[in-house]
Amino acid sequence: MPVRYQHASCPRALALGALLIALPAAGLAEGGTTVASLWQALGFSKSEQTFLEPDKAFVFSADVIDAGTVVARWQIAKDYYLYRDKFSFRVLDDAKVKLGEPVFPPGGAVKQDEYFGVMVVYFDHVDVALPIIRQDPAIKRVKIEATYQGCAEAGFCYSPMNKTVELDLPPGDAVAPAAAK
Amino acid sequence: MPRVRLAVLVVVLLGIAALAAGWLLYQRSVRDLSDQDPDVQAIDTSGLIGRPRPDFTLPDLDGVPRQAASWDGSVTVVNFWATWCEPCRREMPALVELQKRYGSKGLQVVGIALDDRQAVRRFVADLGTAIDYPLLADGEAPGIEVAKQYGNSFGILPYTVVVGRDRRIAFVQLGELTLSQAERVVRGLL
Repeated sequence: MPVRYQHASCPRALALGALLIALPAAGLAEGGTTVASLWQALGFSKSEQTFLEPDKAFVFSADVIDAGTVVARWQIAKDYYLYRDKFSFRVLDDAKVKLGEPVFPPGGAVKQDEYFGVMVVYFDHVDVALPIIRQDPAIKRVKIEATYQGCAEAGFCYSPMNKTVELDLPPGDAVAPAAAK
Repeated sequence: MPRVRLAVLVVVLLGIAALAAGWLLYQRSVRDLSDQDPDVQAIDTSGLIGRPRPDFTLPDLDGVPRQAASWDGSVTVVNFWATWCEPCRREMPALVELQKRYGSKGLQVVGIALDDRQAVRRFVADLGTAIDYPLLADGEAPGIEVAKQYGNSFGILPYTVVVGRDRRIAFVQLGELTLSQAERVVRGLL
């Protein structure tokens, strides 16, 4: 029995000893709070969590695919997502151009929100087709504001973000929106 | 003799452990300072610590304007949240409990919603549990502005700032705050 006891206590004694030496070392190395520093250095701390800048988490771009359609695109960082219901789009500075109903890609992932119920979210990327309705065919430029909102699987969200894009429209008398692809 | 050998072994192992710890910390500091992935932006909130708390005036759920100064002298836990933010809702019970445990000792939790006031009122009514601390809401933009003044330039939620009795920022938490973490912070300030 004593032998067994000695064996069992040895690793603990060593671990304690190592900690006693390592803690001051940690303090010297960083000049900060010792326990927290060592804990973080060993990768146990929650403060190691990374928060991407919103523009890095959700990279926005937009382009014209035909005379009547603009596509708004988001490249989404791994484990981040955007809510389908939180997208909104509007034309700025021009009463003669309007946007039709945005066309979202089918599918998407489903999140069960305790308060809001089922929410469709997009991971990785999402392209939203925006029908452009030109009331005056002479209009060659459109300025669109996109609003979107998303979160990270790690357990945090971003407040709504806005992006404005100005695009040249190809010639055409497109009054009716083109079908989204 | 075996005892001596054991003692030598212990000393050697301790030495190795100390070197390993030092190396780990060195690597970490080197990585933090110069070798950061350019795509990964860590938000540095350390500069906020010790700064005087920014002022704000926002209406509560009854529309009554409330000023940051009205909680001066308390340890104030300013929590930025929104009804659509699931992790924010998840941490609310911890904040309710924090207020319950430390309210009588001079702690005040204040929730600032980056949200429409009606949405917050509906949420609170549906919740069924009392939130015994003031909730302020005046739409998204004013909440975002106050959050920015409190150092949250990325608009990340939840976001919590603890202000000491001296009106200076003592602690900042990006993302969810746990009750034990909050307790550790406020106990040192009360």
